[in-house]
Amino acid sequence: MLKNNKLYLYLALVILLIWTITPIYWYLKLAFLTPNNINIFPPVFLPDEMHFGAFINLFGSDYITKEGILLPASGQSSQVIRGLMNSFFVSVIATIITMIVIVPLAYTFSRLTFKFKTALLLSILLSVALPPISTLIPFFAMYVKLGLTGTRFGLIIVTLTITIPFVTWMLIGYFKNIPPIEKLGRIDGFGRFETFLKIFVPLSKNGILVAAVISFIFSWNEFTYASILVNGTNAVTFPTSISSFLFQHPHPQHLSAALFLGMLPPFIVAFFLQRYISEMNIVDPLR
Amino acid sequence: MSSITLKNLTKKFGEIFAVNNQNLIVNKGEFLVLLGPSGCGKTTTLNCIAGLEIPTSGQILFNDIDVTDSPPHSRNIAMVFQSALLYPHLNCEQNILMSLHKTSISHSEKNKRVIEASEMLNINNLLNKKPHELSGGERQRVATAKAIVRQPDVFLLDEPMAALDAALRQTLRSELVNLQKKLNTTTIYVTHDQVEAMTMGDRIAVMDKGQVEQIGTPIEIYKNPKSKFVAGFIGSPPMNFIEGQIIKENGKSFFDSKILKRKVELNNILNKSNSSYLSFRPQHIHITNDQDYDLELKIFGIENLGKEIIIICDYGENKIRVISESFSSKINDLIRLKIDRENILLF
Amino acid sequence: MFSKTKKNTELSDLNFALLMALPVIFFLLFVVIYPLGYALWMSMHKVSMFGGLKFKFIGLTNYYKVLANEKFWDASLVSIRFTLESTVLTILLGLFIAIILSKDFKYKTLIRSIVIIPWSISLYGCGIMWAQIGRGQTGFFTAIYHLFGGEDKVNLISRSYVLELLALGNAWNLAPLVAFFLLSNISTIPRRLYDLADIDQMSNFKKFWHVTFPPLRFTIFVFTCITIVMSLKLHDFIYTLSQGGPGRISSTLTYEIYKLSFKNMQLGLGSAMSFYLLFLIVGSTLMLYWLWGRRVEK
Repeated sequence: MLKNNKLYLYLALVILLIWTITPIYWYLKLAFLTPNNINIFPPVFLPDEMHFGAFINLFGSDYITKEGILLPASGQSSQVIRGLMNSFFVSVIATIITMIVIVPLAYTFSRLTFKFKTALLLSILLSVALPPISTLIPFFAMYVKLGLTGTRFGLIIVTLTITIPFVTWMLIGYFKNIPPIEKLGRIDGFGRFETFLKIFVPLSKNGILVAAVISFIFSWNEFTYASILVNGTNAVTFPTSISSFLFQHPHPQHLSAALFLGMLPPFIVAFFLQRYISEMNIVDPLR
Repeated sequence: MSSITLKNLTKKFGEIFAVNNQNLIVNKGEFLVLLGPSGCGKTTTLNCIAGLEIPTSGQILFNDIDVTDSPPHSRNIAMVFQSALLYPHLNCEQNILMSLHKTSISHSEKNKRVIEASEMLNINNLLNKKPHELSGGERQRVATAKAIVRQPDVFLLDEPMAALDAALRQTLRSELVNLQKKLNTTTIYVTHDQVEAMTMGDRIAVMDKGQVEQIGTPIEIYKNPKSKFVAGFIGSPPMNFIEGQIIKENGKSFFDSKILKRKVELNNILNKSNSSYLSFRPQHIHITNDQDYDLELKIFGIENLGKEIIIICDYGENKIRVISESFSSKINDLIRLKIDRENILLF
Repeated sequence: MFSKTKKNTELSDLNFALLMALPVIFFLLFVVIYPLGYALWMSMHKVSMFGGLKFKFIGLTNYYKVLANEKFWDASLVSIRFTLESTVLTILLGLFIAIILSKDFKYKTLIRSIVIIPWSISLYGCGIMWAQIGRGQTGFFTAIYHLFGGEDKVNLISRSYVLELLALGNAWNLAPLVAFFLLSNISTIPRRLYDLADIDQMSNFKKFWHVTFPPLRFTIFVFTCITIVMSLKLHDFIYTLSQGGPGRISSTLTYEIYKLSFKNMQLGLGSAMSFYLLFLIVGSTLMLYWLWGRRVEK
């Protein structure tokens, strides 16, 4: 009986892994192929030859394979590099702003009850229900008027509509589980704000870190706003800079390589994050 | 050390009175226990005295100086919380030093006090460890050291032993009282455990529903409880109650109840005509073989503690407990009981 | 003795909280309420982009135009169908993954790290990847088909299958998050309860239904709501995978709004339609709460 269960478990695990990895692998294998064998029909499971040329092309250099095939540099490379830098900039700034604004808020909301709390909380959380498309339209119009299209500043502001609600929800739940250390601080003579800054924040830094990292991932992956607001401008972010590859079939290996690069920060982060997410034990913030 | 006076102290949460018009005086150097069930307002009272809560109305005086509006730090108090609350990310020595962080004491004086405190509480070997590495009892000692190092005027303790096992509680109880007598600091100790209250307090203030029902030394409260609540709350095994009514016959008063075989004559001192409960402690009722008995009940349970035996008898939905030294009946037998007339209380 | 008493200069709870909340209140006002209000205003105007932004007031005309537009109704149906399929798949998948991950096996940390990767991938990236899988020329199923001797392409970006492909891909992305939260719920179930079930001779299914499932109900409700909202809002994934096609088969309401506003530059009409979308989103969550959430609330 027991052996059967183990067998089913391993079978399930194998299926799970195949399910998870196949979509990623199926596209990423393109990044390692040359233009000749990219369009082979039927599509192959395992390529015969693998090259790293596409990655090098992405950054603007030619690459010659062992067999002497020339892989020309991608014409988009300046865009790609600019996109990477802009994405990084926007994501970091948006995350910093989010954390500075939300950590104190989540602290007060998780500890105290007061009159407008539920209303305020609901409004923040309800802004999650707004589709980016809906907020994009007025923002687009406003930005056209204010000349903020094509600026990183403008993009950062809209990105906040994604990061703030999520971080609020997450941190309030997390903070509720922290023991009531304020009492101790007040007896020892720390003022409210000092208790928060010097005692509470160091204590809860794990949760804060997780929230910041998730906020970064959300900003990094953001596409809708960027595609409308900064596409083709100097403020282009990574997703939009590679969207010019998107409907361009001649060089799918470049797109694949670019995608792979773009996935790396979230990959790495998620890898280390998975332990913390399940330990977070998040509590409903409205209670 | 300070004396503490509460004048008409009231604290409301929304519409609910957590503390209702409370008046209390704690003498200098006294160990006062605030005793009561959950929700009686004892912790709220303590929090008001500490300055962690602002009262809705009323005054708090330390040595006749009004501190009602002062923040905790300027009241020169120290507090030990439930589950020995300590800063989790600091080691014990740093935890203790934190109490002196906001004072203007010299560096060398601070270190001197930490050493003294850790010797008094025997925690020298724990100073480098973090709270999560310690056992419950050790954490309690560190929290106590953290409190005494400030040399405060008042100690406030909020059910500090609630999370510890029975054996540990016994040890720490006497150590804490001993320490307090040595330092002679006015102390208020909150608990729901009446054994702790009886064994530790100089006086006990029994609270219920936001008010002090009775205040007095342990013996006073034990022997002369002023209300049914206090009588039933203090003492283990608990007080016995028989429900019934008072009848007057031929100029004498009697207590009568369905389960009593005969009316119990009451002497004039106990002349409260509207009482409905006859009460007596388990050691004031005896098994008898005479015809001269008050109750005949079925045995529900027998608890043999070694030094005494508690016999639990069934009557209606309630139980009567009898303490006896030797015993030979079994569960479900019938026994006859007689109540000591000199130790009856009426409520 | 204690130091001189000073008046309590500390802020009351309410004031302190409001002070901390001030930046977020600003955020709500400028970044949520103002744009929403502006969108409402725009929805009542004809907006033209030639020579700068020009507005002409037309009252509720846009709203009537939306209702008369056949594309609106088609797209709404597509949205609803897509959302339903996504949600069912996501929750089932999430549950399945959570149960597997709650068992004991080797390399648990490694496997868990791999399982969470789909969630970390951007939705536009997901679209590109799943397009590759579904497209006949390059598809995964084509490769498998050929492995078994077939000669045709197996194309899933077709009228019959594209929505299912999209729902599958959406679930692929969302399920890990659901799984991890369910996992933390499952880990709080006392092992003894399973022992009790064994003594009561419960079958595996019964054990799942009576021991594992009940504590998960609230979390499942919460994530059903989240999945519904995310699916209704979804744009990136559809944009890169099918561009709403073939034809308009996979054009959800969100995608229609996108085309209307940013391809046809009809911002006023687009705004109006987006309020219908908002109504759909808020309406579904409220309805779900009314029917289900109230019963599983802790």
